[in-house]
Amino acid sequence: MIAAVAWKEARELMRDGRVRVIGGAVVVLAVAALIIGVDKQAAFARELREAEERSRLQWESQGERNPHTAAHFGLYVNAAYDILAFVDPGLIPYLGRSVWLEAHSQNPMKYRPIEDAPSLARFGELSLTLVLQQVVPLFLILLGYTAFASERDRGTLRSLLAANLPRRVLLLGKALGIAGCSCMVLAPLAAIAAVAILLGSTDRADTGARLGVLAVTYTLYYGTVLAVTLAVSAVSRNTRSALVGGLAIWVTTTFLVPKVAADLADRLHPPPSAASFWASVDAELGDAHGNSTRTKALEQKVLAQYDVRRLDDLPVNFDGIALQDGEEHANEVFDAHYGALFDTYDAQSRWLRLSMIAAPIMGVRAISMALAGTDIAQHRAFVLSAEEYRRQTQRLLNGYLTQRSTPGQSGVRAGSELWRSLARFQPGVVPLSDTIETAVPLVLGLAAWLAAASAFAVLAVRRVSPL
Amino acid sequence: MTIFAHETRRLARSPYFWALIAVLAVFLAYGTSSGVAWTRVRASTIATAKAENERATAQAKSTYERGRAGALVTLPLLASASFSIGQSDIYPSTDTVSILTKARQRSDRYELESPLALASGRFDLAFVIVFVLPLFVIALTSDLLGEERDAGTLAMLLAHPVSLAGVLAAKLTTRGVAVAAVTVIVPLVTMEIEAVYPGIPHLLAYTILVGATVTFWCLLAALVNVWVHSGATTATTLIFAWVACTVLVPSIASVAVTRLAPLPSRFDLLDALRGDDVRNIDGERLLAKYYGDHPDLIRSHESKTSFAERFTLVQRETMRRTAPIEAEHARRRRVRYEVAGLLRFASPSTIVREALDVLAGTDTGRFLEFSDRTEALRTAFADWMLPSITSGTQAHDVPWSQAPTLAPATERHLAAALSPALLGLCAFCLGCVAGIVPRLTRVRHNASEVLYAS
Repeated sequence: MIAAVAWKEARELMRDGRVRVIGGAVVVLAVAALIIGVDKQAAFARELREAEERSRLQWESQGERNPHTAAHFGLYVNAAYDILAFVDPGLIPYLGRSVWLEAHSQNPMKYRPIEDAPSLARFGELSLTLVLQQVVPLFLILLGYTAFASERDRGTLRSLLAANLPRRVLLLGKALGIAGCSCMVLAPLAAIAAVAILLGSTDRADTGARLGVLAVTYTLYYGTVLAVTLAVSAVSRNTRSALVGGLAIWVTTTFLVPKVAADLADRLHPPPSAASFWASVDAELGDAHGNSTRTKALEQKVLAQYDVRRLDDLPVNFDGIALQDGEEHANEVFDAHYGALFDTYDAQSRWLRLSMIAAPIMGVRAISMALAGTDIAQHRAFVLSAEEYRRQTQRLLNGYLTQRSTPGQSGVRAGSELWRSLARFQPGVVPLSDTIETAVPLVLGLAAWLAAASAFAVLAVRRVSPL
Repeated sequence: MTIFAHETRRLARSPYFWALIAVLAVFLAYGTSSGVAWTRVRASTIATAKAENERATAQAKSTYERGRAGALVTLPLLASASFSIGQSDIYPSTDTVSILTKARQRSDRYELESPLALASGRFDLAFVIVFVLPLFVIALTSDLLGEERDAGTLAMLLAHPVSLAGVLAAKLTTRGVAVAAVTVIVPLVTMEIEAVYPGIPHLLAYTILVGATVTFWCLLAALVNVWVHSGATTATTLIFAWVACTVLVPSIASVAVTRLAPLPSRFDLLDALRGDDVRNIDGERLLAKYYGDHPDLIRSHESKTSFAERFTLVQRETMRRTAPIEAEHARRRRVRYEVAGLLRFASPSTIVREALDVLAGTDTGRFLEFSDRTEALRTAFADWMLPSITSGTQAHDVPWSQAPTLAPATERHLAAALSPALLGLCAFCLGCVAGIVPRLTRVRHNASEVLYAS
């Protein structure tokens, strides 16, 4: 009986052209977004590879110079993204791509793509995620809003109920019919997208697992949208009310809740202004080149350690020791300030995840960004790895200055041998296990949403009136 | 006039209408207060930057240190800034010019704005007008004819000596005026409470923009109403139009802009900034050449040159060598901006958004212009400082009052800046009217047929 109801529903949907017209639009948009994403990823990967090589070459071929001059010349390292990041760009447009690693300073990442983007980009960039999170739910609503309402308008709901058809069977049948029609459009699309993504991926097993979690996420989300649409259709007086109700829910949950949640997050956990952030950092840093009371104390300590009276009598270069001491002090300052800044971003992220109580899309967005590696956690992992690399570089250069020269020997030079001895940078990534750990509560939240929406639909259909 | 009065009475009695108006008013009040709060954050950021620059200047012991501290330049906030946060959360409103290259400035590191807030976009007044307002217009106008048609009252109404155009105009005017009035009044009241006064010209411009926006969406609703029979299909079509205008067209246009006006890769820019040409600048050689060209600046009491002189010259030389690369990047950015300016006419939503940004002084163009003026001043300031540092002039002997200042901003007349947007909206409105007029006779004829048949 369920199959019969499902078949009838699907046939009606196919006949009135909704699946063809709206589904066609979804397919066109998704394919365009996929092509644009894959193309962008290929171009970006090529650029990144070349940039990394050039940066390394510049570092290694800087010629003979003082190690501290080299420390100020520094290196640039760039954030890398796998193909999933081009399916869901997430925060990428709003995060810097490159960071200058130099002495004394943990610089923030620079060159946010949004700075070069046209202001039109603030409306949202065309991406597969935009289609999956905003357009597909609309597609489901437009397929489902007539399910009960049009039967009521036409008077056929009365005959269906008079035929003693269990209401649960009616609901399930209609849900399966609509889901079947949606799958006819979405399943081939998902298969094509998955193949394209896996082909472009550098680690297919990892990407495959991430795609699996994404598939579960979207299944739960679309199930919720469908259940709510059917419930609204059942409780609405007529087709128009069902459509307006469904669309109102879609607009509210897709556009308004995310904005309000982000706005509240920014008000509840405001990040410091850049001017005040750097003013505090500068005030705590002091003079990096060793003219502070801290350096005087260090001088006494080193003299006592080597049991000499004058810096000139030291077997090592005190300048190198002082510079490294300055770095250690600066590291503490940067750890405190950047730590607080990222804690603020994390608090905002938590708030946004929590707002999935108001709209399930907030959970979907968080899972999708985490799996694509375009969320705050991934950004923090990269920033930490870049900073660790900067500190490693400074230790190497200051160590050379300390051990290979004597006090006051300002003309000390190092060459390509030292530059080449610096290990290559390995960008930090959030491991899949951590990402899944983050995603599990959100997936459970979506499952709860599906259960609640299904209960709502069952209740609505149980009370459905044929008039 | 009778129809107008009738429609007004009907609306006044409708709880659905009042509920919608109340919700819209809440959104408008929240959006306005959000804009005001952000404007205060910007003002406070500017004040902190000023205080920080003054502190650094006061602490500077030498001309060189004063040159490093530099001068703060700011892009003033307009009194109407609360209308739209626009691009002000992307581009900073302050910068510092000094003897240092841009890459060495602290102000070049002002990128701490929460990426989460940026990605979600701001819930400001511009968002309400561009995204939310059309939905309320759609909710109030999607059944202009459908409801009367379904109830069979349209044919009876048209049997009276009234034109269909008159009926439509009355229905649209009552709803449109109500929505527009709330959209103008609520932000004004909120600003009054928040003690923000944008000024009469800006308020007038805002009112005209709101009027044009509401008119467009009302006319679009009328267009769909006369072409589509069923109320549900009318609502679906209008929602599709909304999605197209606010989501799809802007996102496709954005992709088109990046393809039509590509920028040089940032990686290439970095490469050029750190290439051999810059890396091999020799401070000693530069200084020798500089003193050869300017023997009057050689200090008689010193034989050995100081770090400050070498460093300043290296910074200036780096600026000179990288200037063409940065100028080319800035030029291409401006081309991209021009192309984006043309493609905004693809959707009424992007037209309105850009116009509100212009009204608030938070549009990309204003920030790019500020950036151009700042870069010009950076070079002029470094050139002006150079002789004082290399000649060893004491800080108190430097004529600081003669230091170059930021060139005045190009005067923007509000009317001229907003005219293209209003013309664009007018074109969309005329397009709707052109689609409505030929259909009116047909709709009237269909309604008459229904009446005769019954």
